[in-house]
Amino acid sequence: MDYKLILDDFEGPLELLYQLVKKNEINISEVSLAKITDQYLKHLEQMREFDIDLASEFLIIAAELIEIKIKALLPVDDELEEEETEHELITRLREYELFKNIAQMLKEWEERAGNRYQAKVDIEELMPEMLQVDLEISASKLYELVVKALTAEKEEETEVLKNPKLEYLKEEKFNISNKIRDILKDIRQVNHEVSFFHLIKEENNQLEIVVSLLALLELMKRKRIRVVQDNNFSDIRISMER
Amino acid sequence: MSEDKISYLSNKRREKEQKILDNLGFEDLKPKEIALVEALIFSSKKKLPRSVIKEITAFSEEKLERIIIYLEQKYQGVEFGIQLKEYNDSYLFQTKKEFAAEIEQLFDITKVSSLSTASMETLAIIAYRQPVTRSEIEEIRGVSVERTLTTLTKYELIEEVGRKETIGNPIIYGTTDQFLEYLDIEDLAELPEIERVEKLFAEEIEAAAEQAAEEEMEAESKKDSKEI
Repeated sequence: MDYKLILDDFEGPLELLYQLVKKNEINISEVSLAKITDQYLKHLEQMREFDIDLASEFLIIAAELIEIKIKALLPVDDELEEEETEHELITRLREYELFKNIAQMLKEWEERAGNRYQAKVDIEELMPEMLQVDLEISASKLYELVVKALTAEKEEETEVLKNPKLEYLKEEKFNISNKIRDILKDIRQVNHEVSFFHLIKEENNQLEIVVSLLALLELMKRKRIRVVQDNNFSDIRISMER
Repeated sequence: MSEDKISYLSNKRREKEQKILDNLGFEDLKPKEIALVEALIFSSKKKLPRSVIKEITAFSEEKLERIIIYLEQKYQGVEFGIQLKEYNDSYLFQTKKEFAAEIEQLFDITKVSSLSTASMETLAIIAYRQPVTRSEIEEIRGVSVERTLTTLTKYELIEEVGRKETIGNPIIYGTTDQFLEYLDIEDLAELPEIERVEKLFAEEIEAAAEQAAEEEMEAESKKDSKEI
């Protein structure tokens, strides 16, 4: 029977190389890497014996190490030497070490930071309770207002002979931008507060009342008007924002 | 009792605060104004950005700064179990770390995890190289970091910050405010520069080498004295 072990954070070839550098207590340089090339290759051999699937990166780095070793063994050409730059593997290994060091530093910070907790104050959870507001209105008054809202004239349906195959567009009788203009005109005329009930008085049409309200909200948002309502359901007084 | 203050503040911050206090002090701050800022921060579920406090209170930048310093220093007193913390110009109240064990007992928190070495190394690369793609991290790590990125994202220590405009439009990653909170650092500027890290570790290695050499010398001299 076969057993396969799959590791999550599997350590790569750079880690192996870095461990060898640490174990041998050497600096990261071409001369020293040439010295541990054999050890690296031996490790690879062992891994093969244990039937560990070698990622191609291990072999790439093995090739690079061999390249470094060959260079170290060859007699130095004086003319070429000056142009020679650091091998890419050296740069990579230095960078690898750098981030290992930073991680070690962050690890200390993690330790020092400890575990701190905060209270989870959730205003939204408290909301339902807060919404039980006092209406400050009598039952009969409330009834009156409900009846008024329900009996407001519905929009007139106009009968047209319709062709069922065609879509008919409805004329837009009220729109918010016109309403905004009307409201502003009304307020300017009286040059003082205007009652919301007064604004909608002559227009006993549900749709128009809704549009008026939307227009009012829009004006509030744009900070053009000031709106005051003393109690729930009482009249809304509208004046220009100064 | 409040004389005994344990310092939870970084040196840089303490210096900055002292400078402000030397100039202006707290005397003109009204208790109600201080209480208001405290209430706002306390009621907020998430970290409360300074800009929001400013908008609501209409306090000047300078006044708000001093109120926050006042609160911060007040809660440093050992008689307080909570502290005011700042991360990335946002504020929140947190319990002090020394009470972690009891709080964990209260809320039955058993799994207090710290990051694995591989995760921390990946996090270090992202912190310093952000915004960074997965393949750029893998180039440094020499291994696949797919799972590690998933873990770090799950803990909200990193997040996707966009896509790089190269072939394949790879995802680019950056650290989060949670990252700052996790390591208890005020902002990314607190991370030391790479050159300083290098120097720090070089010095450490040198010191270790010196110590080793000294020990060896001592051992030698002991051996010598024995021989005599």
